[in-house]
Amino acid sequence: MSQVSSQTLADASERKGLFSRLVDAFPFRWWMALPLILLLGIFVLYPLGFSFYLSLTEYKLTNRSLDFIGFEQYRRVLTDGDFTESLKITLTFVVAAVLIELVLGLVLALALQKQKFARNITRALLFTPMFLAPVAVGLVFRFLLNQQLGLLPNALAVFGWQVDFFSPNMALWSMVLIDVWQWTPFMVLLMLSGLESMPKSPFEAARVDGASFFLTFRTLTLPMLAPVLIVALVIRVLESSKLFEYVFVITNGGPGGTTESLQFIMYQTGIRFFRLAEASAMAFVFLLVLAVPIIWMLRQAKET
Amino acid sequence: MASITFDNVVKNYGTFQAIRNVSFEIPDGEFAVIVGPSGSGKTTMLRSIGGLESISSGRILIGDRDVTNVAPKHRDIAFVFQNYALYAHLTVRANIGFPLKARKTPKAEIAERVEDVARRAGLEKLLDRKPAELSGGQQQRVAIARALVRQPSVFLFDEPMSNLDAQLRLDLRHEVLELQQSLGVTSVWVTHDQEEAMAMGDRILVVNHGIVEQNASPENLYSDPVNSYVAGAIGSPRMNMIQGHSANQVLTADGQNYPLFPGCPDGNIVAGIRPEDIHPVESGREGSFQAKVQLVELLGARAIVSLAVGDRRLNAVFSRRELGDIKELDTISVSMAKDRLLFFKPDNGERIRLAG
Amino acid sequence: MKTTNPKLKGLRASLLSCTMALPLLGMASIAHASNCEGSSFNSPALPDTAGVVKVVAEDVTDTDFVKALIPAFNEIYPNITIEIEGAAYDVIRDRQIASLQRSEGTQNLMQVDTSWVAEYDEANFLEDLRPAINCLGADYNYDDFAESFRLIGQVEDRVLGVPFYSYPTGFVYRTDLWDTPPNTLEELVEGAIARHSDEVAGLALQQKQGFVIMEEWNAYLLSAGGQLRQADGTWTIDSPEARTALEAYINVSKNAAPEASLNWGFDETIRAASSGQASALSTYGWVVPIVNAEGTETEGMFALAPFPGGRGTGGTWSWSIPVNGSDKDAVWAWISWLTAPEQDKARTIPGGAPVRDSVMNDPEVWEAGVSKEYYQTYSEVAAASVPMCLGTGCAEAIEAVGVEINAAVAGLKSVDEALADAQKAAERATR
Repeated sequence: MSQVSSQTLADASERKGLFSRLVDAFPFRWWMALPLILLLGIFVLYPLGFSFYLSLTEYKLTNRSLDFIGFEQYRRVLTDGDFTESLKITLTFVVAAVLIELVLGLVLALALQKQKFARNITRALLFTPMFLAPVAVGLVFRFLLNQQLGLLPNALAVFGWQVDFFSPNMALWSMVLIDVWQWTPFMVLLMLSGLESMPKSPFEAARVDGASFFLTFRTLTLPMLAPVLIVALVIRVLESSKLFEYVFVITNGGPGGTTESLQFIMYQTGIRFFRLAEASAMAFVFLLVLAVPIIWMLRQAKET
Repeated sequence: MASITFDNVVKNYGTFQAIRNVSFEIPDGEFAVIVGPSGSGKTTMLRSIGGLESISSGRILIGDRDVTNVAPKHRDIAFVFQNYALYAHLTVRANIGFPLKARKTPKAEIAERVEDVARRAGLEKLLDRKPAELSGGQQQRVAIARALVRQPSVFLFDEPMSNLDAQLRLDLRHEVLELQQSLGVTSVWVTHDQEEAMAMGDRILVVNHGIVEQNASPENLYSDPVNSYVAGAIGSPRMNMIQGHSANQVLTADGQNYPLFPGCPDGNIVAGIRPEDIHPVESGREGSFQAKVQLVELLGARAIVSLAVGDRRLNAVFSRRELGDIKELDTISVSMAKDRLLFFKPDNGERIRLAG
Repeated sequence: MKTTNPKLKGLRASLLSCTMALPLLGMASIAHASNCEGSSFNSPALPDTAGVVKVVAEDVTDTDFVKALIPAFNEIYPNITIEIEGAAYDVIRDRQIASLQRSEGTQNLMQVDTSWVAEYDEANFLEDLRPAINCLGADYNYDDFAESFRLIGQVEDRVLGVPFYSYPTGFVYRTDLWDTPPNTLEELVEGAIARHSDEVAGLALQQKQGFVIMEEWNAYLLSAGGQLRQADGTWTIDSPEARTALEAYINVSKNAAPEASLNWGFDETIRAASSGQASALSTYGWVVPIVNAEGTETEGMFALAPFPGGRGTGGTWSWSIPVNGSDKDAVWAWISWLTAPEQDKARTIPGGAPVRDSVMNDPEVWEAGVSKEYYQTYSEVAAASVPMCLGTGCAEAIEAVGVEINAAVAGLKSVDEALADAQKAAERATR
């Protein structure tokens, strides 16, 4: 009896030896990282890789052939005037919206920092826009800016200003307006926490030294806020370049194609017109375009 | 004229009274030290002089000017902060020059004055560095230089030595004192360290819970404290306080008798004697009593000797010579120097002055 | 905007008594064969059929009317559960595409729009319902569906979808502001401009770029004697008729449409009309009951006329069965029951958009529904309506043309330029 059991034990320990040898073959930290790598692989790398593969085919949602055609889709996308036009539109939107949000956000954060009364409720109210679904916000503004029904045009009319918010000249700026309304609070949030975590004594020293508001702002506030500003910039540039919801529920890309953002035409090409491979190609071109400023900004962040 | 006057100043934070009706005057050119424990209001007083805090009532005057409602930059003061408060993104040169730039001084003048002050503060070689590249002591010098460059009427120092090590503290102390002497600018220095206060001040304001207990020269504070708080605050180790009943020139406390002398007050009193005023004597000498040596802490030239008299502990400081070969657990005779005994009322600590 | 309850309640009562006949019919057909030749699901459906029918349907009144009929359906088919999820237009398509990509779909019943039928057929997404229809009794009467609607759901002679509700466009106008509806395009333009004021617009247009503006402008094109696409597939957008139509539309947009309405879609125009701010709409015929609804400012004030020239844009939603769906017997039970004449009538009376000739010509419907004139006009409109584009690539073609037309209306391109570009875009999309 004991002979058998000791034999079994010996076998068991040898088996265990194999397994633990396998585990030991790789550094422990690799094993720790494995779950995350698996998750990333399944939910990020695989879809990305498959999308890229699709972009090299003629795949349509109604004709799911995976015939390889090389970079033909990319050629189509880049020579098609619509894509480059859409790129311009999207970039204009991003630059305008983010700049306004940055400046407005900073001004508001500075003001909020000095506020003494009803601080919490003001902040709670101010931050609500960013918690709303963009589609809901888009729909609300569609009617808010409506000439007949909307509060804004009617309020402006009191001062004698006739503004058509969805004319070909104004439509994209109306999209900017909506984005600013919804996302400036995000900037305020970031900057306010940046401002409130700054040490107070250099500012008192500046006060004693007699520095004007602008001198203090330039030499103290801005440099100290720079890391936060860059983070805010990166996040907003990435997010706003995905302009879609407002266009989808309000303008359908119009009037006259003036609000056809990249995300919108990608959706249209891939889902409405079923040309998924072409949409994939668009997405990757877009990725490359975005990569440039993002890498630049991250480099800046590293230096500060 | 840049004297500093507090006239019935009160400062409340909500219901908390930080400064409770304080009045004093610091004459022009003096180096005044405000000393007290944390939360005593000393920093609040300093910041009120500088205008960084507003006051709830009363007046503050610098020279003849009522500056109660004047902004800091118009009070002609310079402030040195506890944590230096340097401008992290500017070079040392720019830091020092900042106050001048804020007043729109011409560039050439700024450069000249900065060089001058930097030399004075020993910073000529560090002008192009950033604060993060400097040691604590160097940073503090930059802060002082920045204050100097303004040539203000008043210097205000908010515990600037707290973050420095002991030797650095001593060195900087000397430099600041020499500087102040040569410039003759009225200065107010806040500290919690009574030794620092005693060493630096022309006058010292002992602050406790928002009031100034005593405003006097170091000598007066030491030998003629106005109450037991001041007596205990000044001098290290602390003055020994013996509370008991005095009759017939003998103080009885906890069953022990301490010999007093003619003219001492009778009744319930607190007798105070500084450790350095307890001396070992031959046994049986008039006015001596027995004590058992509990602990001897040798500090080089002197020793702190912890004595047990009955259940009471008394601290004494003997010189090396006095210590002789007294060891722990010895029973010795000691006496208290007559002319150094101080008496206080037991209820409020007020000093009982002897006639004559 | 729902219809009043009493109408529905009364209807349900009469329906219940009518549906007593159907089980008898069903039992009669059992006597023959439960699965007629060629049909891949039970046709006619058996009363004990079990299953769950899932569909994502458009959030419009017709869906509400359909939902109201479910209890009656369950009287006959108690083991079938109908799950209808409402959604907006674009969402429907997205959900359908997603479901169709799978090996087993999340929806087994689909509401398919005019321009999607050919696309789905090309991808072999949908079942051919012809054999199943053939197995139904004569009472079903598939040919009773108005021809223009019926043909939309067909490719060659296969039936990919059975008409659900139609949306041909006509001229919807305020009877108090227009004595007679316009007969020609010129009359329409002049009439709209003449009736235009700050308070009440002459004509509220849905000018939003893409298919939205096309639904409307196509009618103008037809009215001018033109057509988007010929029967052989050639595009005739760049044509003199189109020029006339576009210039007329631009004229209305500038001089008779509400201020700053270049971005308006369907919702805005309906809102404008029912709050009394527009005297006419060139839109789907079925909006009449909506803008005439009880409780609106314009209760009972609107009527329908064929669009000048007699032809309007044709369109229909059809019920289809995806190949990758489950419980097809149950789905077919639902479709065949719902679209049968009796139930179609029940759906139409509260204000549904008619698809059957018999329903449009039924005096009971005239009485209980909107009005005799309305249904007769609707019948006319239906007969003469012309879908914009049938075949593959249509969704993209219409969208692309709509961008160009909108650009011309917005003043960004000249009429000639826009039409030329539209022609090219359409050709490219349907290559």
